[in-house]
Amino acid sequence: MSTKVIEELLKDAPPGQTKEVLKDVKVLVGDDAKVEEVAKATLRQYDMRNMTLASYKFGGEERSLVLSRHGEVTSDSGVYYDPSTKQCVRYDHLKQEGEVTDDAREEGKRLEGDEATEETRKALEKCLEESYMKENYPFGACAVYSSVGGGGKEYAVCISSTVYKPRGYWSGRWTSEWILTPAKDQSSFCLKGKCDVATHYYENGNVQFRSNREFVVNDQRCGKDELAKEVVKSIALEELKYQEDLQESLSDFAETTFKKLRRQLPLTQLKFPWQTGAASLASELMKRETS
Amino acid sequence: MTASDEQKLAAALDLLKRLPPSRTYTYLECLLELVPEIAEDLLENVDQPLQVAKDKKNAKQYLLCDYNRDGDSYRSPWSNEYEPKMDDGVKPSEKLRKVEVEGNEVFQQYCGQYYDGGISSFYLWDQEDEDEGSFAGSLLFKKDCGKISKAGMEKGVWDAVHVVEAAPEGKDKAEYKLTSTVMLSATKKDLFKLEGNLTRQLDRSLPVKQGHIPNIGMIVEELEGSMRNSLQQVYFGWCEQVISSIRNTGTRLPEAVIEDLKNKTKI
Repeated sequence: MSTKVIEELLKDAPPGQTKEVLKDVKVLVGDDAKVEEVAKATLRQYDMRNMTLASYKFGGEERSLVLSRHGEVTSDSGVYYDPSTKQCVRYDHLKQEGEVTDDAREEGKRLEGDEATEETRKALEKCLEESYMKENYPFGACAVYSSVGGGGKEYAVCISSTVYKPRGYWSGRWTSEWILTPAKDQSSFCLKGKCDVATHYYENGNVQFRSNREFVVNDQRCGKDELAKEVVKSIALEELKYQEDLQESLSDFAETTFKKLRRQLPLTQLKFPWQTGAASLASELMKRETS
Repeated sequence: MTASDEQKLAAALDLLKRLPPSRTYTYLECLLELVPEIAEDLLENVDQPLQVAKDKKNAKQYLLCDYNRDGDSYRSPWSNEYEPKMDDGVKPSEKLRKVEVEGNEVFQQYCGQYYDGGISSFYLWDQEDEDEGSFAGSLLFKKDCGKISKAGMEKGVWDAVHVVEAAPEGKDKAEYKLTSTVMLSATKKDLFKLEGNLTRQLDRSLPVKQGHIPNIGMIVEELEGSMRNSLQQVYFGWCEQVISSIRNTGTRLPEAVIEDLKNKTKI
């Protein structure tokens, strides 16, 4: 039995359902150790690609951390840097549990950035958390990283929101990744972004929605000390436009193409005349056979 | 089937309800490699999009599925012949073939009225070890359409598979058990892909006055109509709601509501 088969079945798990998928694969393979060995690497990639929200305890509080390639301390380590607490968190992708670790403190330093970048990063984080996240992502969380892109003055904003309702047989996920490059004097900035949306409905069926869009915002001017505010405004505008496009296109599809696939009623506005229609046809067939 | 095989089948079907329907074929290949012992039951329980073939004799199109397949050949509902040719392929009894012929004519008209430009096929087979007069059949419809507009390209594909089992009940009634699956995909180029399937069941006991065809037709029409509504709700209305519940465009929800929702979403 090949590793690839296990990988294939795990890597497309719908939002929030890796545990359920893993359980099924274990039943099918019948070798839990083997499945877990493959799952460790597959789910680590899954969690980073889909920006899974991890939680861990710090200072007596439950903290959320968006897992992403920007926070990975060393590749394949399963240790992630949380810029908001400056802690390194070891995440068990199988058990879905995170805890603060001191093992990677030195490596984690690389992601901390200098004083100036930290100031910008913090301002951005504050602006996102205080207004944008609360209003738009009641179940989500964000993370802002500095020193991305090989030590240059770039920042990454990762937003992740997943809702899973097993009793209602549905789940959904929205993730956004924005790379910010401010001008040296912070009088303008460029943004590159990508949003990913997935939903899953599975009561007596299996219906899945997938969408993504890439964004580029070039040379956006901004006033002195207004970088964070202006960046969040740009993100908000692009994401809103995208979501409105999705809503409009979905209802447009329902109104036009879906109606053409199958009518609600025939053109006559009457249900099919089974008694007369079928009866007359049957007698015609009889005639054809006997003649 | 052993208890362990049953467990495996349940796990495999659960997986197929969770993984993306567009890649069902790939997952089936994986599952068949992992659990070949349940291959037959698995294939029986999984619907795949319908393929179209052309009957050379009648120049008419028909649909391919497991119900008109024997080995690598498929039987046309119009000519009753297998393609590639197969002389000993399974065919319905003469009596049942008559009903099948009648059904194909009537359901083609039904298809014309509901699925302007769609393709229909109706297949029957005799039930083994069942009461005299029992039979089973499948009624298939396929329709695809699209449009190109300023806003982009749209494409929709509808595949309906209705499987019916009929058994006599008393002197002049019959009991029909209908299981219907509609596979629907809706794509908007460069924006979204929405695809999957819904399955519903309906049982009815009806007097057999004018043969089975009008009865099967009425039940299919009823269930298909209600499934069309469900599909519209789940695909378009529900999907929009889920997106706005993960990313809220409106004004801020009161804290109490958010807390309540958060508790509810916990597993």
